[in-house]
Amino acid sequence: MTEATTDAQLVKATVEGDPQASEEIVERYQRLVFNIIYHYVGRRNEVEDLAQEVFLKVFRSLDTFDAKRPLKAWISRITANTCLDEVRKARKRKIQLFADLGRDEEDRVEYFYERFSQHSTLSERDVQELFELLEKLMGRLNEKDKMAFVLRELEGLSYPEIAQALQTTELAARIRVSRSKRRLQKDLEQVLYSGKKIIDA
Amino acid sequence: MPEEHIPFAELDFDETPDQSHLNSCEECRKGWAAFRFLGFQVKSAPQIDPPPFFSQRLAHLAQTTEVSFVFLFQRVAQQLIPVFLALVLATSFLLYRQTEVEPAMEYYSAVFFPEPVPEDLSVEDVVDSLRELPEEELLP
Repeated sequence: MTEATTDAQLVKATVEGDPQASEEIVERYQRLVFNIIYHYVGRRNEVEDLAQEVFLKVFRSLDTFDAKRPLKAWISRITANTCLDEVRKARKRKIQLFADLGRDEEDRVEYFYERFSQHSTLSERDVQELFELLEKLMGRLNEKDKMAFVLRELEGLSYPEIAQALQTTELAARIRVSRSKRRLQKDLEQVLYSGKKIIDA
Repeated sequence: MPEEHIPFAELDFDETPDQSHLNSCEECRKGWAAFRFLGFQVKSAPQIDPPPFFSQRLAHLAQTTEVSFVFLFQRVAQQLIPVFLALVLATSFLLYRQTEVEPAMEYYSAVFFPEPVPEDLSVEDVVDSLRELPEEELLP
């Protein structure tokens, strides 16, 4: 299998039982799947299990896949559905997935904002903490809005790809992303400017 | 007429809004600062890499899952073999009876009733014919 092998050829070979082709499919899309799950679910320790579940679902239903459609959007769709299911299951198990920012966390947001304003570089640990804070802010979004935001802004999917992944229209995908941005921006403004002056970035 | 605020949510994170409006609008300056910080958070979000050999492991797992489906099918098929055999035997027997019973009946009828029985044979005729038989040919 070379890089020039198209997704459609890989799908055909996998359906015909070629193990190398199935390995190549995983190779091509594993990073996308891992990061959608990580950025959406947020629990690093669960990412690998969920990614495995996603790829097994992909292989089980590959014979029904329409090879004229893009494989990336189809795999993103299976990943998105798996994440949404996982969040629902976790809610049933009464696992607290996201919480509002506490006072300390708001202080940390302000601290990071100042670092950002002063163009200071962040350590790996800071980057991780900053993402956890963003994760909490995203927890206030509607599930599908959040997924659209993750797919667009964190994974860089195009709007047509997001529309296919979420089984919706391109316009609806744009609305979801824009609504998420507006909400996140407003929440950040609230944290940053509650009675304070603007720090020019 | 008041100027409209910048719709930040419609912008990409690397887009720059109208600077002159920002200079004159306190609210949009706030919004812009928060929006830029949000873009920074998004761009600095950590990425994770799949563990080594994930693709090989998955390809193998996918195959064994397929194999296990085949195995499951074989097990079900094994359970169904006796039922299938019984069905085949029953069908064969029925077919055999349909095709073989009638010739057998014809054979035995021919042995025991060599002469066709007249349709108008009455009980009296039978009794008369028995009376006509010599005594030694009658059953004990």
